[in-house]
Parts: sequence; C-alpha cells; structure tokens
Amino acid sequence: MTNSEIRNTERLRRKLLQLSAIVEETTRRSVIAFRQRDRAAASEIIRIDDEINEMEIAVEEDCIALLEEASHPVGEVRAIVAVLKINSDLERIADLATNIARRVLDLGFHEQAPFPPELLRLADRTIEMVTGSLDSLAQLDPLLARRICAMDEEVDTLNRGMYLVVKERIASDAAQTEMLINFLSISRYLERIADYATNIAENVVFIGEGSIIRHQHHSHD
Amino acid sequence: MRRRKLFWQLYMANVIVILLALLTFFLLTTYSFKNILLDQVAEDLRVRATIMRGELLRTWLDGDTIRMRELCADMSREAATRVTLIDDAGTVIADSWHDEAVMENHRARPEVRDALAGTYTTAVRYSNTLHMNSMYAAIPLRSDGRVIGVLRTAVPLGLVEESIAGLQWQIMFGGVLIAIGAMLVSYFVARRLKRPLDGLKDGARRFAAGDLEYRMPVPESEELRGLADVMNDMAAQLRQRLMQITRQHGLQDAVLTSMREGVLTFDMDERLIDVNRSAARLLRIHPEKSRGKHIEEVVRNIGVQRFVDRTIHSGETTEGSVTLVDDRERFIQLHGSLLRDAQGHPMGIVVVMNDYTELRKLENVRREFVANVSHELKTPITSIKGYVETLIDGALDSRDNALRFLGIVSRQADRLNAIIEDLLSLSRIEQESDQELISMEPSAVYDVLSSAVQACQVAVEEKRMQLSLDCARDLRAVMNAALLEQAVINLINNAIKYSEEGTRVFVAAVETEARHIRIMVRDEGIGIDAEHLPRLFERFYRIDKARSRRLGGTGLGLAIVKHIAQAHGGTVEVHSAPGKGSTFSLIFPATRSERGPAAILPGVPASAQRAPDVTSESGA
Repeated sequence: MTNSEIRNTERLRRKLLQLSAIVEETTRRSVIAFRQRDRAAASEIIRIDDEINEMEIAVEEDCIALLEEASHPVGEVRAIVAVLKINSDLERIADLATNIARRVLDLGFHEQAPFPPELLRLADRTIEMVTGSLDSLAQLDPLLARRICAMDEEVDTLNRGMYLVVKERIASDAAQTEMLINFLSISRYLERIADYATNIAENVVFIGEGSIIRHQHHSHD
Repeated sequence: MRRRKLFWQLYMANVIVILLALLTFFLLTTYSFKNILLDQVAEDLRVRATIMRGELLRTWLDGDTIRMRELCADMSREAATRVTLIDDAGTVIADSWHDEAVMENHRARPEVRDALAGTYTTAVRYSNTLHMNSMYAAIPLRSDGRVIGVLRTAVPLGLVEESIAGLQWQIMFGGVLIAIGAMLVSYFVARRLKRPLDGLKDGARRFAAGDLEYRMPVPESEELRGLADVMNDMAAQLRQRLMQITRQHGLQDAVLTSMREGVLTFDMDERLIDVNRSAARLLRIHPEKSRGKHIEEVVRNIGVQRFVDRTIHSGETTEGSVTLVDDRERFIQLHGSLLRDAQGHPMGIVVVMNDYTELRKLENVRREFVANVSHELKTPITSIKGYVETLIDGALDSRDNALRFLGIVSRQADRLNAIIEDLLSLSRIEQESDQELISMEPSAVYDVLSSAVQACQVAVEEKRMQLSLDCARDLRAVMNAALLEQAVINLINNAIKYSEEGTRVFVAAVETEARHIRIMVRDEGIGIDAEHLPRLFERFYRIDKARSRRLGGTGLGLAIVKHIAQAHGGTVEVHSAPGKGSTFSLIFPATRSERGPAAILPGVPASAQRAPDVTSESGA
C-alpha cells in the first residue's frame, strides 16, 4: 500500500469509529431515557438522529470513492466492504435507539408502574453488547468479537420471555395495556440492537480472520 | 581488533624504526669494513711486491728464467701470495701458481697496463685461474729508468669475504638481539600507554551505561589526566542534572496521578501520548494499551473527539463541555491548549477534564429548593388571598361565614409564619454552623430533654398519648442546649403527629462507647416506607403532602433536626417500617475537640455533603 492509500483507509476507519462513538452514546442515552421516563432526554435523542444519518452517508460515500479506485492492495476491498456493513449496522442501531426514545414520549409510558426486571436485564445486556462490539471494532480484537457474538443467545431468550411477562400483566391489569405494549416494543428494539451489535462483531471477525461466521449460529432470524 | 589498534600502531612504529636503524647500521658497517679490509690487502700486496722487487729484478736482469720461476715459487710460498712476472710486452714470464706457457697475454689487464705506464695500481677481479675474486697489485720493474716488466702480486679475496661475512653475521645477530630487546621495551611502553586509555574507555562505557557515580582512575600522564578529570566532571554534572530531571519527572507524575481533573495529551496526529488516572477512569481507557493510538480508537465520545480536533486546528486554548454517558450522565468541562516544544513548534495538545456532575447536582438541589419554597409560600398566600377577596366581595355581611373565613385566613397566616420561622432557623443554623458561631457549652442532657418533653406536653395530652423520658441525670455533653431542644421537640412533634391516639412515645438518651451521645425518639405510629427513608431529611420532602399540611407540617422539621445534628458534628438516623413505628436518633460527640463536618467543601451547604443514615426496619 502506498502512503496515501494507507491514509485513506485510516481516515475511513477513524470516521467509522467517530460514528460508532455517537451511536453508542445515543443507545446508552435512549436506555437511560426510558429507565428514567425522561421525555426531554428522549426528544434530544430524536433530534440527534439526523446528524447520525449524515455521518453514515458520509462514510458510505467515502467507501464508494475508495472502491472506485482502479487498483486495490490485497485485503483492502474486504476491509472496505466490512466498513460498509458496519456503517449500515451502526445506522440501524441509532434508528432503533431513536425508536426507543419515541416510545418514551408515547402516551401511557409515564405511569409509575415498575419495569419488568427482564426488560432491565435485556437493556443492560444490549448495552454491554453494543459497547463490547464497538470495543472489538476499535481494537480490532476478534476474540472479544466472538465473545460478543456468543451473548446474543441470552438477549433473544430475554426478549422471548418478555412476551409472556407482558401477556400475564395485561391479563391481570388491562388498564396498563398501552404501557405494557410500549415495554414490548422497547424489548423488541433492544433485541434488534443486540442483533446489529452481533453483526458488527461478526464483521470484526471477518476483517481479522477472513471468515464469514454470520450464518453459522445465527440462523433463527 | 579495534581494541588494540593504538597499541599496535605505537608498537609497530617502534619496531619499524628499530629495524630501519639496524639495517642502515648493518649496511654502513659492512661497507666501510670491507673498504678498510681491501685497503689493507692492497697495501699488503704493494709492500710484498716492493720487498720482492729487488731480488727479482736482479734475476730478471741476469736473464735466468728458470731461477726467476723458482724464486717466484719460493716467495709465493713464503708470503702466501701469488707472484707473477710479466714483461713489457705483456707476456707472462713466471707465475707462482700457474703454468706460464698456457697463460695468455696480460697486457690488457688494468693493473698491468698501469704498471707498464709507470704507476702502481690495484684491481679486484674474478680470476679464471683461481675461480674466485682476487685482488691484484702490480708495480713496474725498472732498469735504468725504463720499465722493463711488471711484478704482480695477488691474493684471493676469499678470506676477506669470509671475514666480512662473519662480521655481517655477528652484526646481524647483535641486531636481532637489539631488535628483540627494543621490541620488548616498546611493547611495554605501548602497553603502559594503553592501560590508562583502557581505564578511560572503561569509565566512559560505564558512564554511558548510566553508572554516573563511577569515577575514572586518574592516569599519570598530564594529557590523559586532563581528559579523565574532564570526563569525571562531566559525569558528576550529568548525574546531578539527571537526578534533577528524575525528581521533576517524578513530581510531575505524582501531580498528574493524584489530580482530580483528568489530563490527556495527544500529538498533532491526534494520537494519545499519555493519560492520567482520573481521565482513564472517566473515559474507560486502558493507559498501557492505548498509548500511541488514534483518539477514535481510544476515546469513544464524539464530543471529546471533536474537542481535540478543534483544539489541534484552532491552535489556541479552547474551552468546551461534553456529556459522558455510561450508566448515567456525567457532565465534563474541557480545557484544551496547544503544547509547544523548545523551538515553539506545536507538538501536541493537553486536555484537562473537570467532572462537574456533582456541582450540577448541587445546583439542581438549590434550584429545586427555591422552587419548593416558592410553592410552599404560594399555597397559603393563594388561600389567604382567596378568602380575603371573598370577604371583600360580600362575605363580610354574613357574620358566620366571615368568622369561618377569617379563621382559615388566620390558620394560613400561622402556617406561613411557621414556614418562614423554620426557613429562618434553618438558614441561621446553616450559616452559624458554617461560620462556627454556634456557642457550645457543656450541659446536662437531661435538662434539655425534659424541657423538650414539657414543651410537647399539651400536644401529647390532646391525643391522650403517653410520653416517657429515660435519661441519666449526670449525662453531660458539649452542646447548644437551645438548638438541641428544638431538634428534640421537632422529633417528638413528628412522633405525635404520625401516631394514633393513645399510643406511646419514648424519649431516651445514652452515652455510647465512643463517647457519643445518642438521643432517641421512638413512637408506635404508622411507620415509613423504605423508599422514603433516604430522602426523609431533605427540605420539603413529604411522604404525603396533603396529610402533612393537614397536620400543620412545614416539611422542614426533619431538615432542621439534621442541620442541628450536623452543627454538633453529629448525624441523624432513622429506623422504621410501615405499621411498626419509627425510631429517630440524633448522635453527636459528647466532647468536642474540633469542628464537625461543617466544611468539607467550602461553599457547599453541609446538608448536601452527607446523607442521613437510614435503615428500614422490616423485622422490628
């Protein structure tokens, strides 16, 4: 690779990491906002989403510009493709975090009914996975990435458990239905965020080891 | 071999000089010795020829050839010299060592030619007759002034050459001995010269390796001694400077490490140079793994990333603030400035992070307090205003209604008064406590408690409750009796308010082992939910606002108790469970050596610094 080519991929990587920083922060904020039922914080998250979308587009354009160059050193195309995938995963995570924030603004959310412990666990695990996958991306650590992939199972189980919890609660207290449905939506968003975090971790493994592990353990969705 | 270079140079130079001297000596000696020998031989030959000449000339003149030959042979034998007689035509007439008949004409021989011309000459030549170098000397034989022939004497030079060769061997042998001796001497001299150099080199190497306490041995020779002194001086200075640098570095490290503010340094390429402990904790950075990496790889916060970028590109000091989000939000003030090297070129930036989350929280507490006060004051005023307006609008005409309304107005005014009284005493306690103006005197705890109990007696009797006091009369403590009495009254009043009719309230005081006084007020009332306990002592915190107002509470009673406890360097505790009554305790040191926790952080109200100790008593 020539110097300018290293520069280009380096710049691309740094841009992607910048995006990852703001996406992680948004995700964490959305979880805090729903836990504290904080409407102001939720509105702020929805506002930031536009900026994230712009950053995502900028990274994508850089990827395309790099791909359009005549020749590529060994491994560069692979890296650029991985960046493209991670870029779109990050944007999806931010979208889902925004969705969580929208639920916080929704009617019925502000009754003082306690959150089901499963939902709080799910939120903790999801944040852990997002942080872990982005750590593995920043440090290009395939070992950590594999550990993150392995956590996805638990999040899926917790999400499935939420349906039962919500069903039971609606049966016992129909007045809370609206809020419980909101809980269910948030649970689903969190589970999907965890899925995208897993995708990112898989792509980190793909960059590091050159193997595609996406469809090996993750075929149920 | 580099090690020995100087040594060999010195040594070889000496050896070459010695060898050249010897060679010159050798050549000169053999040359002059040979000349001297040859001169001697030539002289010898001439003398012999001169001695022989008389007799041989007589025989020659007699013309007796036979006799001449015999004479030649005799003389030759006696003088160990070849004797030859040659006539003026060059024909050999007689030769002592050879058959004259076969000998060729000798007129062309240089010595013969010269002799025939009348002079004496010698010549050295290879003799075909004798097969060796010989020296020839010829003298003319004269008769009546005319040269009639030549008498030639000759000796082979073998002997001469042998003795020259012998001499050469001796000179060479002596020379070799001298050379060896000289070499040995120069070897030792060179070594002696080299040893101090080795010492210097060794010392220099130890200096380079950091052993600056080492001192070089001082050589004897003037020049090397100067060098060693200079080097030793240099080492001493280096050591001093190094120690200074190390000390400064250690100090800087200690300062950075113990700083509450986070400090980060980046180079102009936005790579992390260093991070102190606070910053590492705030940003969840692993310092060892992160040095030399780009900021994006290390700090996952877009605000900090952008701030660093801005500082590097603005080239000035910059200010900013970011929010870090982990499981809660942290508010961070950032201060960035450019680092310049000695030449003034920018070499990086330093970012100082200041976590003002706590300050912000305090600010919120203050804001909340102002809002609460306004709200608390507004409620009775709204009520008073409403009833007064109703009275003005005509309710005065109805005496019954007017009296009822005025009663309400009076109660609301009392309430307003109570709130303001409480606020004033709260702020007075806080202020005096901060400024250490509260007078503390040793007094009997019993007196304080009993006057508090008396003050509450009316209320107790109204609800037909029993109030008991259990306190040793000799229990004494350093305190402000008036404040403490107010605190106990507040606690007893609370106990009365939140208890059913006919229940009991216990007031007791004991001295704990650590020389602390513990005043307890226990009731058999409704108790408090665990979730309320942590905030119970906050100003205007009410479990049930409506109930509190109905009972005439200001929402400040317990806050005052807490502040009085803190003014005494003590704390408050509450143990409670719903339906099981509550126990409030006020604990403070019986003796005072120093001020309590009044000023941990200057400018911050003591109430914000310490949360009351609360426990939920689920089993009691």
